[in-house]
Parts: sequence; structure tokens; C-alpha cells
Amino acid sequence: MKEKDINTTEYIKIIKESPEKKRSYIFFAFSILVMIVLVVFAIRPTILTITRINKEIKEKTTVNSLLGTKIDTLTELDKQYTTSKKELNNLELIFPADGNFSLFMSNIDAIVARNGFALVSINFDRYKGDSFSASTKVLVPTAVRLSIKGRDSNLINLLKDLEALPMYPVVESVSFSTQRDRDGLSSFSLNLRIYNIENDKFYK
Amino acid sequence: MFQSEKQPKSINFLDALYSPNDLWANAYVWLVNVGKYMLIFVQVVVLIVFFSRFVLDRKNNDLTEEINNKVVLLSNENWRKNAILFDNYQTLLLDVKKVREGQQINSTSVSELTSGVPSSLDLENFSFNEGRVSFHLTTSNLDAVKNYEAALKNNPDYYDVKFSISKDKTDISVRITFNLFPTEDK
Repeated sequence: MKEKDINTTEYIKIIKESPEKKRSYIFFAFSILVMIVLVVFAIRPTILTITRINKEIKEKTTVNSLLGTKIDTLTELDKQYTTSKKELNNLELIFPADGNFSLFMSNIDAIVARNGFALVSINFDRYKGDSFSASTKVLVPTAVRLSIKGRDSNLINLLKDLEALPMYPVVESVSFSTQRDRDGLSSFSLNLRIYNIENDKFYK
Repeated sequence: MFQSEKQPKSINFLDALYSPNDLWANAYVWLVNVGKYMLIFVQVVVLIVFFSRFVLDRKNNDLTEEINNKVVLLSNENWRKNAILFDNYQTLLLDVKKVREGQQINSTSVSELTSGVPSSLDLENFSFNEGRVSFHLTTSNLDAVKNYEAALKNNPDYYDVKFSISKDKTDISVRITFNLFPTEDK
């Protein structure tokens, strides 16, 4: 028989170099290739999408948290505003947004009279001085020129009373002469710096 | 008649049942041995990815809905007005604090200046303008003027002190100008 002619060495050779083995190598390589194709074209885009969604979720969580904080803050501020509404409404008179200095005028009149002076004239003008250096965002200085008559001995009390007003005025300039008129009164010129808001919808 | 030819008794382990050249048969073997694991792996990955996306998409949609609801709430006219109003009050109160703490009160300075004039000197005119001070004084006592000049020039709160003295018979007229250091520069 022909099979009897094949010895052991030849069998091993057949096993080692069999076409079966070659084919198994080819299929293994094909498997790896298919896996690579799957990873590159199917799994990778999906993972990228998941990463993107994760990032979106992170951002949205932050935005959601900030919005929640804003709602909580506004709710809390609304409660505080309700309890302090009267005091806050006074700010509109102290720092007017529409150029209405009625509270200041009435205070000036009272203070001048209380210190024995007579108000001769009062003028409001745009502030042009150099003394104001505070970096305020909404408060804008305004110049007020007062012309009054009275005794110089009362001047300091008058100035102190003026600077104690709730609108935080500052005496920018004072000038007077000790010469007296027929009634024994001296003339004084005062320049004050007060503050207002240049936005008529500020309190609305 | 029933006599048959004697067949050799042997088993060939080297040749498979199928033909080694049959491609479909090889593919079947590969599918059974290797491909199935790969398919299982891919299916597992696909399932994980599917459920992850399902969960994440749901979470994302919930968050979007929640944000939209909050935005709608904050876009409400009253809420919007209140937000602006409270923001304005906050800015104003900060400004008031800056003004209250940052500005120099001048009534005290004027008080010190006018009360600092010696009684032997008569104050005729006084002017204070943004830290710039000028006096007009009259007297008949020159020593008092000298003392006052020395006092002003030695005062560390004042600078650029200038005296102008004129004499008319017995009356001495003195004009003084100087500047005050701002509070923060002292």
C-alpha cells in the first residue's frame, strides 16, 4: 500500500505545512481585521457620542445648579425686600434717579434755618471738581451751590449738619467774608457734592 | 458469490471529514471556534453602549427639561423685573458703602482752620476750595503773624504755605495760602 510508505517524519511535515494550518492563520488575521474595523467604525463613534453626552450633562448640571441658586437667591431677596421695602424706598429719595432732590432741598432748608442762617439761593449743576475719586458704578456726583446769610460763629455747626445728611454730601468749598450787612449778617458761599443716579428707570 | 475482497483496516486521522479545500466548511469552523466569541464580545459591548446611551440620553433630556422650566420661570416679567431691581439695589448699596467709607469730610478741616487762627489776628476773608485754603487776616501785632506763619509751616498736614504781608501805617494785612494734604496721603 501507498500509505505504508509514509514514515513519521513525513506525517509531521504534513501537519506542520498543512493547508489547514495556513487557512487558520488567514481566518485569525481576518478576525483581528474585523475587530479593528468594528472598533474604529462602530464602537469608537458611539464612545465619542457618550463622551459628548457626558460633557453636555456636566455643563447642564452646572447651568441647572446656577439657575437653581439664582431662583433661591431671588426668592430670598424677595422676602427680604418685602420686609425692608420702606427703608429701600427711602433710597429713591436720598439718591434720586430722576433729578428730583426734594428730600435734600427740604433738609437743607431745615438745617439752614436751625443754624440761624437764611438761604439766599441754591443751584444744582453737573459736578466738575477733582475731589471725587471713588469708583462708583451708579452713583454720580452733582454739584450744589448754596448762598446763605448768617453769623460766622454758626458756620461750623452748619457744615457738620450738612455733612451728616443721609445723602453723604461733602463740603467742597467754603468762602466767606466777615464784613457784615446792615442786619449784622455775613454772606457765605458753599459748594457741596451730593450724589444721584443717571438712570430714571433704576428703581422701577 | 458472497466472498468479498478483503479491505485494509486503517483509520486516517489526518484527513478531516470535510475536504480541506472547502471554503464554506472552513468558515463554519472559524465561526464556531473564533467568530462566536467575537460576536459575543461585540454584542456585550453593543448592549453596554446601548444601555449607557439610553441612561445618559434620558438624564440629558431630563436636565434639558429642568433647565427650560427654570428659564421659563426666570423669564417671567415679575421675576425679570425683580432680578434687575435687586441687582440695582445691590450695586447702589455697594456704591453707598464706597462713598461713606472713602470720602473725606471737610467740615472738620474747616473747623480746625478757622479755630486755629489766633485771637490776635482778625479774620477778614476765608476760602476753602477742594483742599486749597486762603485767609485774609489783619492785625497790628507782627509777632503774632510770625508765630502763626511758623505754626502753619511746621504743620505736617499743610504744604505750599505762602504768606503775603503788607503794612499800612499800624495795620498789617496778611494773605495766606496753603494746601491740605488729602487724608489718605498723610
